[in-house]
Amino acid sequence: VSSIEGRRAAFARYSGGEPAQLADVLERVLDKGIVIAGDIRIDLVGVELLTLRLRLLVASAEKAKELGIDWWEQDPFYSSSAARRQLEQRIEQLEEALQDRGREGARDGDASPDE
Amino acid sequence: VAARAHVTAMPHPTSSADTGEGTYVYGVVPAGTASPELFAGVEGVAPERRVEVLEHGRVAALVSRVPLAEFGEEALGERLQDPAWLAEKAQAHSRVLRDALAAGAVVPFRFGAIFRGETDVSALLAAREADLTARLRHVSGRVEIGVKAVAPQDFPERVGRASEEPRRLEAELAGAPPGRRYLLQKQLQQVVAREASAVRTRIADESHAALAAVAVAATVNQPQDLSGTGLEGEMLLNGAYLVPEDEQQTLVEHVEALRARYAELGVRFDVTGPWPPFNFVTVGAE
Repeated sequence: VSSIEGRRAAFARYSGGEPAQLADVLERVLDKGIVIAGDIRIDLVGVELLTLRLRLLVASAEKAKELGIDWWEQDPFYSSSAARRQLEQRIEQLEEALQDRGREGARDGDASPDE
Repeated sequence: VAARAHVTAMPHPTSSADTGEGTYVYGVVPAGTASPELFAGVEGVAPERRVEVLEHGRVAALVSRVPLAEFGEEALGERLQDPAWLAEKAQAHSRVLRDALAAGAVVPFRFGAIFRGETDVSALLAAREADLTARLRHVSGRVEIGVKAVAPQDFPERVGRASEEPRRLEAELAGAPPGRRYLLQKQLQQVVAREASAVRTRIADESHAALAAVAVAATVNQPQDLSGTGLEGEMLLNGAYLVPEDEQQTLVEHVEALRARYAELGVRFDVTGPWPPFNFVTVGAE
């Protein structure tokens, strides 16, 4: 375990021990990595994801990013109520704008492998 | 749509409604490499729920039980719209995988893979054992390093006037009558912007090529929008590089060389990581 601790310490060095920038984390965690919903043959193995809908939402987040609406990259986090309100409005607009596109995305991407 | 409809309609003996809990999967590691003790002090996506290691054959999933009141389909739909919640959980997801990386290879899942129970996760591992093993082998002993190049705000002014055309326009401007000045000014602005854009592309391409040359695999992501982050400037390159763990220093040395090379232009290079190989495990990536 001590060698693992050592490796952890070594692994922290590039980021100077600071938690990684949120944008870097979100970019990876939400946009990269394996997506299981499209990755397994659900009907064959009888595995059910609780959150197929989540994938659509994450896909929406990706689309939002494409549109340049990086609401999660705002920092600091909505300290003022004004910023919060503004954010809520933007999310509403975003949802409206993406509703139709999201359906299209679901048709195109849901049952097929990722990327 | 076919798959979704099927899943929704499919009855299942171990419905999550029974327990009020689901099983959240962070990623997959080779069986036997990660012990639960590794995650003893690590906070997962749900408070007071340990990170557990669920083995099946040659692979093991890193999982946490999660309350459906927070992670169930409906609840999640709402939570996902709360950026603070999403930020916290995404960090937790990333943290667990980074700790797993310290113990060995890891294939990260995208945020939000929530199963109804451990049985379903085991079924997934059973069905994909060979595929996951191959992916683990591909990333074994390797880590992902992020490198971002950021140009200063005055970058267009710094680089846009260096070539012949803007200099000629400037010279012409100096002695031009007022009416002509306006036109020349407009023209100069356009030339400066065009020149700066060309330099931007060149720096991004050259930097990426230099770093990709020392990487096992490399990819370029869309530059992040820095507005609202408190950081100044414009991102030119947002690259990810898969490198052998013991050759990280080589990549960093190449970044140093790029820093020196572009210091005059004020270009900054940020190195992040090592990350689990998020950018190098997607389907068809190899």
